[in-house]
Amino acid sequence: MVVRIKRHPAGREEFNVDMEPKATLLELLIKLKEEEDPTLTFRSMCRAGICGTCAVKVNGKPVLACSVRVENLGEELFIEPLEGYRIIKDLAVEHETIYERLRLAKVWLMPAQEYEVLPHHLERVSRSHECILCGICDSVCPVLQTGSSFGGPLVLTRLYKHLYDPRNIKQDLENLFGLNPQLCTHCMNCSYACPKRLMPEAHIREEELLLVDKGLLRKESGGFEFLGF
Amino acid sequence: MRDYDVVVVGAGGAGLRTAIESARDPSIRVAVVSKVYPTRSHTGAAQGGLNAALGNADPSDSPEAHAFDTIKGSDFLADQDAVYFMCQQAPEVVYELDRWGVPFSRLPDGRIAQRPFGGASFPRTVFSADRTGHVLLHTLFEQALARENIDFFNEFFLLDLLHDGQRVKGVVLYDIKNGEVITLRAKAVVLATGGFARIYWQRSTNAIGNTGDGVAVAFRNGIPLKDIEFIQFHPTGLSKTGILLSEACRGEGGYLINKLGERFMQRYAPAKMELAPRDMVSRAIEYEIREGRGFGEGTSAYVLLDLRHLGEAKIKERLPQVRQLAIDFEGVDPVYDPVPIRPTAHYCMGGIHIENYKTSSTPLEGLYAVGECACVSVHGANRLGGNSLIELLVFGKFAGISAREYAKQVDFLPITQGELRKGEEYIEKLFKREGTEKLADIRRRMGEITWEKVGIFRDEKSLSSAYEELSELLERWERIPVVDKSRIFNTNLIELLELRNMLELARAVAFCALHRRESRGGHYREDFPERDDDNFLKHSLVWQDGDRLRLEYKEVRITHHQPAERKY
Repeated sequence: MVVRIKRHPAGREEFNVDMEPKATLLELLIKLKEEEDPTLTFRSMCRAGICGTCAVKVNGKPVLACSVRVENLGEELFIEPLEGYRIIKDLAVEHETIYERLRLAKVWLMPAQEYEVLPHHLERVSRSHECILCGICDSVCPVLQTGSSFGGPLVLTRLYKHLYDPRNIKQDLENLFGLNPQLCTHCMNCSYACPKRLMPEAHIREEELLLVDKGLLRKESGGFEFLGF
Repeated sequence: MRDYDVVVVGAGGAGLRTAIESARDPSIRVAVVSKVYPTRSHTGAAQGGLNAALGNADPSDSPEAHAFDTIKGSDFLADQDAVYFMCQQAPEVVYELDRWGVPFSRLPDGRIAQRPFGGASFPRTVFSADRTGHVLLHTLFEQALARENIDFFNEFFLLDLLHDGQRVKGVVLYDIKNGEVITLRAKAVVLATGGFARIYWQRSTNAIGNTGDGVAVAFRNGIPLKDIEFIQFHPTGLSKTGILLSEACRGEGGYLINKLGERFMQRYAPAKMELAPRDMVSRAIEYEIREGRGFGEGTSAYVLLDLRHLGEAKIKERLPQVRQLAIDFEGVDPVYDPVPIRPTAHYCMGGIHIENYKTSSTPLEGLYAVGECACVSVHGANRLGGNSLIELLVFGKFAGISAREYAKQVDFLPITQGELRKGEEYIEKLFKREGTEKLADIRRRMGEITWEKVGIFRDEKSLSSAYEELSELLERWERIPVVDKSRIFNTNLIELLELRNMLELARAVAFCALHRRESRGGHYREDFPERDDDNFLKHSLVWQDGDRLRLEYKEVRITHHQPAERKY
């Protein structure tokens, strides 16, 4: 198969390679690095879709390289770095911003001393605990790309689990208010792209309604003004 | 150069738990160093859970029963006082995690649920579906992020330790993103860099980065390693890739089936069946394959893990990740078909020698080690499933306290210009190196040698030839050039550094295995198939003196249970 890779700042861009069809995109990249070009740069760690390290774009679609099979990608591949992050080298982009966003948004729980957790408390937040911080959702969010004050799907998904956790005594409603969930355009890019199928957009929708419920946000009747346009 | 009271190298569960504890005193400045990002550490891959005798599923369980199971599982090589300490502290660290927000699976009344696990006499393993390590890692990371006196050094690679022969004084790091070498001066250093089961390159459940960097750096600096010949092979690695399917598969009632359709564990552990400890189940599978009762041949042989009788609902509720991994990486949906599996290198029972289990201190003053990179020893010759996460939580907590309190008592040691330059000079030398050896070839060869000769079955001949061949590979390593000349995100250079660490450790594993002429836990010698308590009920300690390896033995602390035959 023919594989083209967008290199930064420079490097060989086209490869011809034979791959077993069941091989993953990450195995393809490893093979190229081992056999063709040791300067080819990408990140990887767990190989099993749980650490969120190896996100790249292939044929225009953001994926975890370890979790997609070559056979499902067609005969020609074009691999490029994720959008929305500074490119460091080849397919490696700046991930520090992911962690900086979490720090600025104070995405952590402040422990209560006394609490009761019942199974249903956790059912609601279960999926948002499965976020692996791969950064794909933010990379496809059109609102974030405009540099607005929107918190973005990654941070809002991560925060969701703390909003409904009986063990959290942090005043996260104000925190949530500052992240402006109402700026979401509900384009669903994040939910389609999430490799863990976590539906960030659904979390954001609920968070927005929570602010309305608590009187922190006014829902305009019928209009689209509150969406931020 | 920057100064920190405590520098923690490695930001998985062990490193983060340690850092949180050290940072409890706001006057203490803590640095957390990782060659990846904290949430990408291999703790996140732990699926099944962690053991603590909460007595929620069965009130007759107790820390004493947990300790006994652990000691028996260790084939009596664990230090029993350390095991009792861990098991007694276990419930409290689980409740701590619960307060911090880990979404443990619950019983209907809200108490934390517990499931059966291999080698355990009660259902004792607390869990969060089958993504326990992931939620634990992310919760610890968020708690560490919340503390203002913790600074993160993400994507920094450990090059060296600085010390004066008596006391540690700092660490030398390579900044992967921009190629600079920096020094962090420290009063206390905690190594928490994880295991090195990647020395079995092609057949390892481990993440690509589990190359034993902290263990190798300690070893090169004269610190002994303990019991490193004991490598755990997990019974249920996916046949094609070695990716791990959780022990929860067996805990929830999965069957292991051979080509004749038999639940073959009947032959090896009739009482515990599939829930026998990992070393026994792995050997049983390999026997079945060897006797022609497996599927396929050679390196692609396998047996089947059958979950179908659990039903779709239970598989989806309790084993969702297992199901997804089997679908993504083996092309099999366990709801409808049995999954091909084969034992795979998984965990290093041995590691950096810990002198005092209450503090996790090493022979070098001010240096501590925690988690898989350390050997306390609580796992002895074989670790029970669910005991690695509890180990890193308990000993991380107490190492964090020790490092913090030690840092309060001492001053920084001076660092010379020569020490500041050494790391930079080493990197420059690597860039200038010439040669025709290929990194990928040597790494692959290392994986073949370890799997074939230092694997599940070992003998004198295989081990001595492995030792010789790995020594040769180390010489050839000197002739691998750095092809990528860039200083920006040079993964070619990092892989070269990692390969040196793995080769040095692999050679030491073969050396220690060669000298342990008995079979115990994960170490099985076909030429010495019996456990030999008269000669080998002791820990092996190995030092690297220049190019030579030196071995000594140390007594096992037997405080509660006299060694007995290990039957399940």
